[in-house]
Amino acid sequence: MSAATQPALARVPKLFFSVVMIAMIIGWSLPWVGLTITAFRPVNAATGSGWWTVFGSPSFTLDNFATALNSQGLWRAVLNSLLITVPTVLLVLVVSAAAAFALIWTDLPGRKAIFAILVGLLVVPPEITLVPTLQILKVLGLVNTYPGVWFSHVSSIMPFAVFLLGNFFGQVPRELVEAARVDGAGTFRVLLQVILPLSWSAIASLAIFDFLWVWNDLLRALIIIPDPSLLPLTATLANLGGGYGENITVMAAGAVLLMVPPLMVFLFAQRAFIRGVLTGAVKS
Amino acid sequence: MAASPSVPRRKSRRQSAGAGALLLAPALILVLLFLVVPVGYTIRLSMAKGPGFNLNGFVGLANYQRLAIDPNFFSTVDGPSGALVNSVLWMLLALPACILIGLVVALAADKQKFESIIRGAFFLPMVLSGTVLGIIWLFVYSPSPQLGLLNAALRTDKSWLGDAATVNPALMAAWVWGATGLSVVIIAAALKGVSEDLIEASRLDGANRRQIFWYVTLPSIRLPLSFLLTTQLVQVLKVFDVVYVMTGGGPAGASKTMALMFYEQTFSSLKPQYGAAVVTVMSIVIVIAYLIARQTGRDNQS
Amino acid sequence: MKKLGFAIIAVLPMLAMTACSGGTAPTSAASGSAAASAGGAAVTIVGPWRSTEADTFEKVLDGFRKKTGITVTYSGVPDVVAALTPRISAGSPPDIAILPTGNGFLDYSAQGVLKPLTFMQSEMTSDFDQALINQFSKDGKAYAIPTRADMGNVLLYNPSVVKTPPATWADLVALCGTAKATYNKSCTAGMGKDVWPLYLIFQASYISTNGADKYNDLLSGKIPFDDASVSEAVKRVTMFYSNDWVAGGTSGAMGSGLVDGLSRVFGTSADALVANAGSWGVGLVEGAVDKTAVEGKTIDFVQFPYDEAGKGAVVVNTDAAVLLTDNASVQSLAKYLASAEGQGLFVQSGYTVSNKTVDVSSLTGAKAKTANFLKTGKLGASLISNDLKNQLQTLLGKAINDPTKIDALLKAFAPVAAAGIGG
Repeated sequence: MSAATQPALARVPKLFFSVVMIAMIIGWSLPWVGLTITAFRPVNAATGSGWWTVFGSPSFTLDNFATALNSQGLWRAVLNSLLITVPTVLLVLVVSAAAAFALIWTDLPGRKAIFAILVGLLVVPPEITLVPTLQILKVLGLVNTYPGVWFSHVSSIMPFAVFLLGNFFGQVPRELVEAARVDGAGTFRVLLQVILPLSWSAIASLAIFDFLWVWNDLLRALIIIPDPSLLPLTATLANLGGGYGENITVMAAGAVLLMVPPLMVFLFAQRAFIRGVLTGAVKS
Repeated sequence: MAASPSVPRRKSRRQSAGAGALLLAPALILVLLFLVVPVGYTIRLSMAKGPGFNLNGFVGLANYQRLAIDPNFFSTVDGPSGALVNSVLWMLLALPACILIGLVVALAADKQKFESIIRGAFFLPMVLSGTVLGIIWLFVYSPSPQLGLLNAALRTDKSWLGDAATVNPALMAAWVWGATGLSVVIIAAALKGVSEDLIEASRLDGANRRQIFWYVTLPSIRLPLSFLLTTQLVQVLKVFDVVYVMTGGGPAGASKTMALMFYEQTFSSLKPQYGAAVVTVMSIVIVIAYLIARQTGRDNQS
Repeated sequence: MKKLGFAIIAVLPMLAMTACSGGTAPTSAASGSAAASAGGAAVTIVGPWRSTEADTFEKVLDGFRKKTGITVTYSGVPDVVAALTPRISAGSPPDIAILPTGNGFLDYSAQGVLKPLTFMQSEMTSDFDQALINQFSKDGKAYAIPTRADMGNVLLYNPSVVKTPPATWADLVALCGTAKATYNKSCTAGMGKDVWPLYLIFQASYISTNGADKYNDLLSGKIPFDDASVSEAVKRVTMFYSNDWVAGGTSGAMGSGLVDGLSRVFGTSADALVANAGSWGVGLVEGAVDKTAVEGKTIDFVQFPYDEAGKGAVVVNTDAAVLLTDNASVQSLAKYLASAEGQGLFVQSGYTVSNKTVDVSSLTGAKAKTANFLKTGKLGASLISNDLKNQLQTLLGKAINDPTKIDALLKAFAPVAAAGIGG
């Protein structure tokens, strides 16, 4: 109804405001910008002067990345991160979509209670499950295997995934499902041809969320992956520190490597991710 | 409009239920194996004798009794200190900080020219792992003014992470930097949903900016705010990565949170039973805090 | 819908592949029972040595590799106990672990996960001091091989700066009183960030004040932790880390790691006079802090400042190799690591070792001094459980922060320590 929408803070002079905004943007970004610049500086420059001097006397090298990947063996850690994260995400999508559908659109008895319990498990902090997980993997013969790590991650994210997808699936109009059933579609057909095609945004959001969750994980990796050659990048980097004087630029390079995939997600899939986050916010 | 189904209802219902069970099974099995059973295992482990990670022996609540008097967990000598106190400190300081800063930024950026850039700049740190956050801020806090951003700006060589008085706020700042993005995103989106009509009507009634904010804007975003509160509350009580990477709980335990105490007891002090007790208590604290926050959110709605 | 279907189909073979191959990485560090190499099953070792120290150990291992053709893989980690525990609990431990200064030995031996060295005990008896063997024995069986050995309670200094190093504690107090005036530097350098140096300096302080026998009594529970001797030792640690004495102030010192702390005494921007470390600190400074350091001229050490009761007390810390599996290859490597031949390769790189039959004539300067002390000093000081050590370190940190609270802290700590003695 109103002609012009009023910004929340309308009275502050425009120029001053713009300057403050720009300062906020720059200031808030300084920490990660600094790290990124440090990663590309030669060791002598980086240990002798702050990264902000690079604007006056630029120096650039890729050596730190080479060292990190080769002599520190971080390439192995990056590979592990990928081999742990990607299959986990795919497994989560498949397993949680199936479960959410079963709990919303099938005639499974007790499904409302099961849904409530499953989502209720959201409240359980993962820390309490980690130490026994190692023992259980041992019993199953899955210790030091990628599948063991996948299963552990998938389980911990299942409550959230079912919650997210369950809410989304529940919004599919009943008529569509009924129409498909009338046409003779069995349960699986309904899932594949009715529900899923309508839920791509939720699935995309879940995939992104899950990717970040697993790629960025540290504590679980530290506890359930005894074999150091299977450790993902987070744990390998965290263990680099301490001890006898580190090459700080190599650590910076390792951190930049760890940052890249999430940043790519941020750049290309920000909207989908935010949408997923907001879905959770609005629905609860 | 639909004709009655050609397949008899009961049979299709059974097929649907059967298919449902099949579809649910993998999730259920995984959750049982790796979520439910481990919780029981940890609780039982906290009552075991050890040594080792098996469930041998039974000592009842002995580990919890020890926790109750352990100065590393809670002590009042020289002011309150201990892992429990540190976790509570995070809840009392870092949580409001990340929500308030998010609120201010979202309000300031609302409907402004640079809004999406601002949102992006604040949101970016959110996708970074706690490990990266820790490394980034290790550099920022570096004592040498040549290397550390903060000390270069303040022209000092203070060791922020080595002083027990400043280490916790310093760590919290690092975490808040990463967590505020969520607040900004959620509140910014929520602000879009505040009814323009309501604001216009209030203005016509003579309300000034502050009154509009308190009585119209804020109540309108109550729901997302309380979601934010509960989500971040759980996150802040679980903090591990940032602290582990930056100080490992130091100096001499000053920044040790409950999660770190659990890790240290299990893997350094080699007392997994005691560590299990710590993590159990930590989980109970988290659950209680979550339920209280959610209930408060619900009460406020009515 | 089709896309999801394709995605699933594409993923399944990948899942199947990794699942079938056991999921282990293409070149995984096998856990002991892996592919056989020329002379026998491959062996894996985990230890605390990294960068230059790791290079030295690889040379030691090369001697074994050439002799037997057995594949040996070593990985150095910052925290051996934290790295070992998940692997042991998962049932996939490395074959051999090197426990720095015996950390975790009491705990692992209580858990029963260590293999006894009965198959080589007689050889060890002739090559090692009995006190060292006893330190790592249970029920008469030896469970660890002492490898590298160093003096624990020493004070490192730069002779070109401090012409006369402090001998007694009173000397140190006097030195630190005039540090600013005479040398324009701080007196001491601290390394609180890495935490374990706090225990090291407490050990040094207690032994130099009270002697090694009393230290053993303390760790075996005969002396309680709120005894006056402990209070005095802790007080000296807090003085060492006090704002007046320590470079960077207390918080700066607590925020500095091992190498940073040593750089304060040696190296180009030195602003402190003395530091506490083991005698291995000499090698570390030469390798990582000041490559131009010359032993005897710009780097040397003396016993940590003592009282009369602790004069001449030398405590030896060894890095102990323990066996977590004991197949033929592992036993063979164990014997090699204990032998004069194997340990001699450490000496060649300038490290001091526990095997007393090794020829140390090639060592010079501070290292020769260490070797000498090893022959004459009191060996086999008591070990401390990791739990107790962690708690003691926390207590030391709190005491450094507020020295007025020392007695209150010790009083609260004494019963906890009594319960924790013995691992």
